[in-house]
Amino acid sequence: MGSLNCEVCMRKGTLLIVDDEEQLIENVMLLLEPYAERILSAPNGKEGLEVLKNEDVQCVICDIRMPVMDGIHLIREVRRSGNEVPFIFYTAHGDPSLMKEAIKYGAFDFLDKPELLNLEDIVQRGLAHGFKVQSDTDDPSSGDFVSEYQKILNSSKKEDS
Amino acid sequence: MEKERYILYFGADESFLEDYTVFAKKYFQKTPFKIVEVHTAGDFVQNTFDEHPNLCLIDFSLKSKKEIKSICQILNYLKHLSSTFSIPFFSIFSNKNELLENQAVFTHGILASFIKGEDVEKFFQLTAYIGFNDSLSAPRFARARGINLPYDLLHLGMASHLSEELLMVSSDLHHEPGQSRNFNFCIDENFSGLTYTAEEDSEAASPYYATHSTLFSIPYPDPWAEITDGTLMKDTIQTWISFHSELLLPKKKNALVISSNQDLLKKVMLKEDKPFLFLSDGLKKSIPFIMSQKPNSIYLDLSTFVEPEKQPDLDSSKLTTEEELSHDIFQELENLLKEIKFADHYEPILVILGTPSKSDAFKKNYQYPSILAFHEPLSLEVLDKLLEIQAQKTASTPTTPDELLSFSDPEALFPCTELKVPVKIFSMTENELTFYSKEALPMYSVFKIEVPETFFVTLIPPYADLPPMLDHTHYMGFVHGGDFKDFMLLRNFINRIIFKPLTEFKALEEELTEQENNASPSSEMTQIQKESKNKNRYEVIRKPVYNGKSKL
Repeated sequence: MGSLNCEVCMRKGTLLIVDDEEQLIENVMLLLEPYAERILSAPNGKEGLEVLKNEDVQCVICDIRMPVMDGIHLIREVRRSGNEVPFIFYTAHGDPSLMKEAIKYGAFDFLDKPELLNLEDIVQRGLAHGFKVQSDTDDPSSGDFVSEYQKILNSSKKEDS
Repeated sequence: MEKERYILYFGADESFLEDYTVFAKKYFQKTPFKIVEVHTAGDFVQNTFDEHPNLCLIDFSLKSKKEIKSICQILNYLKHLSSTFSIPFFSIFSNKNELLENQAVFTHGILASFIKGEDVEKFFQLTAYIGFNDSLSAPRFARARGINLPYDLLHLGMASHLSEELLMVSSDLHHEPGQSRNFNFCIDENFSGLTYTAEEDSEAASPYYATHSTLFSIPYPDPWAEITDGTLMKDTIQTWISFHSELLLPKKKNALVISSNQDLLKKVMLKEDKPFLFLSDGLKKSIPFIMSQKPNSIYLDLSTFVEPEKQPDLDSSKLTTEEELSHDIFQELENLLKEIKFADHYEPILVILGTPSKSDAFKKNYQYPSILAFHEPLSLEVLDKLLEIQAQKTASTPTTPDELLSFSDPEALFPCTELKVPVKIFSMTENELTFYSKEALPMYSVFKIEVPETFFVTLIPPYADLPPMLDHTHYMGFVHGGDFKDFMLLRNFINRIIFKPLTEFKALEEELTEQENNASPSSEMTQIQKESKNKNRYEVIRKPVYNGKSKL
């Protein structure tokens, strides 16, 4: 669970899955049941936007390419409304331009379809981050930021020696 | 209404300022102008950013080495930022020795220098010609022409890095790989008068006010070569590096900050104790610099470059085009990371601030592991914290013999270099020098000449039609940086060589006869007087620059 705050990891939160593939939604729901209090779903970005307007969601897993409204449009509209909920995007291989677009609006992480490696870990961190964002405790001088920077410096130091 | 001319004076000499203002009033009779005086570095920086003066005069007289170095560092930063790089800066010193000790000011943004006690009008003419695109009425001096003699001008550069094998030098000279250059390295006479070989050359990659950064190999003798007193041996360099280790900073401590937040840039510039911290206000233009200087950490203040609300509307069936992406900071970031991945043994830590995306998203998107991303924009407090961590983590990192070390003495160790540029001197007055060169030299490059005394020459857009020569460019430069005695000697020298042409361009050994001292070059002046309504003045009109290169 990395550097999750203990208080936060007690709260499981609400997860929203936005994907036009029903089977994938079902599979992911099964995998993530132990980690979220509620799992909601929507078949496209437009319906996902409605869910986000009406429900208190801590993390979104979102496909990028979807009919009606794709993942990029969805995150853009969500950010315009002032909602900073973390978005985890599924990407199929060979979607680098779409990943770049997602980065502009605030992507939490990316997962490759169909493998979805480390899905559980990423979602747990996403949910924890969603709670932090809601309580506005994102502090640049916080331990997480500093320790992450130190980790990167340490790993580059090891490579040099 | 004509725009007001704005001259900024950073200093406290009321007497100099009064004299300068007299000439400004004389020449700007019909043009509105103002001269503003500031006394602190903070006010200087504030004014430069906010008011964009047409030119700045910086009075270094009576300042300590540390203060001079600090101001030079600020100038260097200003010369690397889009909003301030084209402002011309000029320096003022109390005496010649002070200028010579600090000649490295010319590699930090100073275009020309004045020694107090010299002719203020001439200095005003020089600053006005460079600072304003005006025709001026300039005094006419006696000219020695048709000299046509070879001479090695000394172009002023700066050494930025040193290892046992290599020396990286910033200058305005382009070098092809394998090209030789003889130069003096002022830091130690052991390094001087040697011929170095260029290994690599990068344009727009210098940490100083220079157009090129060149990596030279240090010329050790071959195993079978004869060793003389002048031969540079490797153990000399090793001893020097070891002896000066506290002045040499491993590259691991270098950091680059990229932000377009002017308030932040101002604060960083005025920070005390900034061990090799580079500043830039653009990512794309920083790429050559990053690949040449290889800072260990890059702090990108992303929020100052992104306006998401202005992104093009995305049709659900349409991807963002390559053209749109080409002006996109994210595309620039991708381009940078492509180059970094292609380079050998270089993996800087990229800290991205002011982004709503997280570190893992960036790492996966750009396929680059050393990225840290954070939501808060970059502030001085955050930067201080990150630099502190970087300094602690890299403090005990051992250096390897082939690691390039940066010169970092905050007490004004100026590792300046004087690169020899072979030219053919054509004409000379006490105000200008013209010469031929095969090399492409940018306007406002500064050189040193040591005949008949030490002066400095700043290349300017010529104000006369200069006779051409095949395969050469004919350059004109302002002569400056001499004191009253120097210019008197120069005057005598020119008068002498008008009557008695030289066979070698060097200072005269024999004294002028009384006759020669008293005689004026009447035939020369008569010809000139005929050409001009005003006997001793002529209209200075800029001509096009031959090679199109300019440092402003």
